Amino acid sequence: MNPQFKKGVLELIVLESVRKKDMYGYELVEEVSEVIDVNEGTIYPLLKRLTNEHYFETYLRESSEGPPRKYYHLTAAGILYRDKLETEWAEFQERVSRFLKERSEHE
Amino acid sequence: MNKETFLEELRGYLQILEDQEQDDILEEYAQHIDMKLQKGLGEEEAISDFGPVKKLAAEILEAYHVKPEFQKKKAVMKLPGLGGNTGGGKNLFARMGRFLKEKFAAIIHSAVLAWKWTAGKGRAFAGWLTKPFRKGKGENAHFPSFSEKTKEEKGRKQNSVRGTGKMRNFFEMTGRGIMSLWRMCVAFCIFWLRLFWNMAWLMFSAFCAFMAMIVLMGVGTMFVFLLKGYPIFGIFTVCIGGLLCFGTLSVGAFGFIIRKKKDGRDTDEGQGTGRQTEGEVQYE
Repeated sequence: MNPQFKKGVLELIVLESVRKKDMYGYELVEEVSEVIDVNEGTIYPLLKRLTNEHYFETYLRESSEGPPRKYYHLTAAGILYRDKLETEWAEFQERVSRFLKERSEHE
Repeated sequence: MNKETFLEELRGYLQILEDQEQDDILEEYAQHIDMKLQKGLGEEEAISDFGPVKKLAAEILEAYHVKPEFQKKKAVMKLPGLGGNTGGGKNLFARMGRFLKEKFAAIIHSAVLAWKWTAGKGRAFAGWLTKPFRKGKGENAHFPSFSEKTKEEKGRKQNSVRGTGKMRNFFEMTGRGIMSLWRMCVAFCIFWLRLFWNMAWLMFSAFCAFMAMIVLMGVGTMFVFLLKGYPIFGIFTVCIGGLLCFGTLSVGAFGFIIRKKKDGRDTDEGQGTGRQTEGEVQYE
């Protein structure tokens, strides 16, 4: 898959994953990897950026194994942002599909 | 590349960020690698999934709106061991550099603490130096008392004990050791200073009393001569003036002598060493 496609939609997938329940980094990476094949390293910078922009809040929670984990929680601003991205994505997808469909009908 | 070198190299690229932020990021990656290892993957494999470190670092910096090129140059300039392919020896140098940096920071930290503490004491010292002149104007209004400063200091110390690494703990301890030593030194100095101060005033007072006696004798003699009709009214007046002057100075000097307060606060507030308590009470 074209890496440019992935990049744009990765944010939406990450936001949607955290919306359902708070997650820690590795868990999130695994979930996202199921949807699209993505370089694991690139998800952390994204989380960092979304946190810096206050779409995520983080907190530490003890885990039974190993050190405490940092959990990500979607803020109200994050939810709004997610919804906006979803609308954009739907519209974008629809336009592209329509365009492709029209072209194929002309042939 | 193993986990250590990976994290070290990544840190090299992230030097522009605050230390806490760097730790935060590296923590995440370290945890990620650990989890991969738990799942049975090799260290090499877990790390190679991240791709080239340089590219990864650029993406992280992008999250902070930092130009990655700038950081690249800086990383090369500041820490020559943290380029693309890190040699073992070079990496050692980098680690040593960081170690020294931390150590240096710890020393500076304790020096700053010591300085602040001394400054606080100094202000309190100035407070009681001028105390005789400020009577009735609310004596504690502008100058912190010693005990106040000490409490603040304690709070600051607790705050600073946040380091997790053993190394940092060690330096924290050393810093605190230096601090308490320093504090004892200052308390000791103040004790002697106070003694010296009191002695000086006492001697000054004695001297003035002695002079007053002599002048008093002069006054008596002059009075007798004046009665006999000698034209020495001027000298007589001077002698009276001298008597008044020396008498006042002699009594006034006692005002500068520092005495212990005799209410129960000594025991309530004095949590420091005995000497400190002595010093402390004077300024309240």
